[in-house]
Amino acid sequence: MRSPKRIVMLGDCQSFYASVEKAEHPEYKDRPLVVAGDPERRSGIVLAACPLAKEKGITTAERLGEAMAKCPDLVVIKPRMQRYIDVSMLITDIYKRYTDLVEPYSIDEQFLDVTGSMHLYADTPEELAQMIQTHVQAATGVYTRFGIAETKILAKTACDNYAKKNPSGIYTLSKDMLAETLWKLPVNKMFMAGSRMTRHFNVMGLPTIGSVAQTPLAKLKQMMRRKFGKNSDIQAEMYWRIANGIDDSPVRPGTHQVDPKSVGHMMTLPRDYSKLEEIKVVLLELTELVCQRCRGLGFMGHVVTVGCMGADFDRPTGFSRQLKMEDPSNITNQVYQWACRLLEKYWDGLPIRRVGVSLSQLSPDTEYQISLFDTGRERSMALERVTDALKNKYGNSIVIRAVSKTDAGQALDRSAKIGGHYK
Amino acid sequence: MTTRKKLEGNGLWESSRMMLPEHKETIIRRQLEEGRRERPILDPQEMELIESALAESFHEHHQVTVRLFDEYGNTELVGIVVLIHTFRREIKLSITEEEWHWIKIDDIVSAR
Repeated sequence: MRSPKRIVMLGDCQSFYASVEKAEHPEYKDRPLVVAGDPERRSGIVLAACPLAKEKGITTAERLGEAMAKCPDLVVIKPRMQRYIDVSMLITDIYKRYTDLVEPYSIDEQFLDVTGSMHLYADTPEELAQMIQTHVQAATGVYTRFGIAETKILAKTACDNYAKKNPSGIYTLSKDMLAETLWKLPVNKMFMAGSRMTRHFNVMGLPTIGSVAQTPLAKLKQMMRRKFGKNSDIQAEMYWRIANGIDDSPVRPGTHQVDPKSVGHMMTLPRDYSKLEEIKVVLLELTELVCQRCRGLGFMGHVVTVGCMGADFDRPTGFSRQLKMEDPSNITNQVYQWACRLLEKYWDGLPIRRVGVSLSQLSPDTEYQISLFDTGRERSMALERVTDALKNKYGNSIVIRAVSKTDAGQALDRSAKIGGHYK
Repeated sequence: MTTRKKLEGNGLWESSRMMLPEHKETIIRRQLEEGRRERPILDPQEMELIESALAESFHEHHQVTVRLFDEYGNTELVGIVVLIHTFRREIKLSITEEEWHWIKIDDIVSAR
């Protein structure tokens, strides 16, 4: 029989990267294991720790050195991001055998709406969740936890706060249970409440999720307006709905297909760059990546944004500025010229540790303005069609610019990575 | 995203998710592949209908709407058949005075 209420699940993979590695290295089955970024490149932090490593006090995002001090016989594995994406897709495929409504939310979390299909497999949502859990474990070696509820927000909340601590890894949170469960939790456990927001809620006299939920919306808006100004109404309503478990969002499988608003790339450098020529090298490399992705998507951008940040994140230096180009473009050299103007105008000469480039105000690249004076455009477009095709086939390192071979160049290193970690 | 969109549709989740661009591209490519279809096998009667529609367009200079098979989604063209190459199994479909297409008869899944 069909259930009158929606049944939404959030499936979360335990210590995802570490679990994938453990499944593929059975010899490490009973040893504490972490996946950690490259120690030489400042990204030497723990990305994922297996339950055995966590027992020794190792936490995600701590420095590898500290982790090894806590646990000398630790197995350290370099990340293989492409493999994790593949396994994540494999898990999506498994979920899709039980419902066509599957929405990946991150590499290790996915929403499932089983309202219409549960009765085909099981009598209760918990029974179905357990079936899927066993299925995923057998196929990939990854242990999954499921939060089950009527809405996405409650499913997520159920997973984060209860399912992960439950021996079965499954927890159902129904709306009438909120007062005894969720509302008793401190406000920092609320979805979307970061440390800054938690501080503000505490100052406002709202220490628990329940206190936010039970404040009338109009009053909460008023309280937040006093702190953040007039534009905080939406924020107030968002937190109020989250606290009350109100969320009518659908589980939308095609949600990733929307046209992008902007295309950008950002990179943390391995050391401080303080010469203009050096920064220009990475600026060109990033512009190339951005334009390459735009061309692949069939877009041109009209506005180019350049951002630079200093090394000391506690004392922020740098800038983020944008400029409208004469015409929309996705040609690397054209966009690069405009990006250079921004850099030369706004860079204060202090050392830089992070650089970003993005293109926005996108339009389809099927039509473009022919310029009377710029006769090189057709040639550049033809050249980039060829280099893009080569890169798509053989990887980004197959053709690089000569400057990328200099000391400052990052293109080769970056082409071996996904999300800043090794493929 | 501080606009109302956060409270509408799937906004809360679309604005807060953490997706690697490479992961997203894989998902989109997979969805495209899932929509991929096999070439249909036409019923002899349907083939006769197509033939007569093309012949009529050719002889009478009537406009005909042909639907062409594509793995990812059929396309439709409206025009007049101006040439038929029986040996190459191709037709020339004139869309406007300047625009025309050579079409393989085997690609046509319907013609009206």
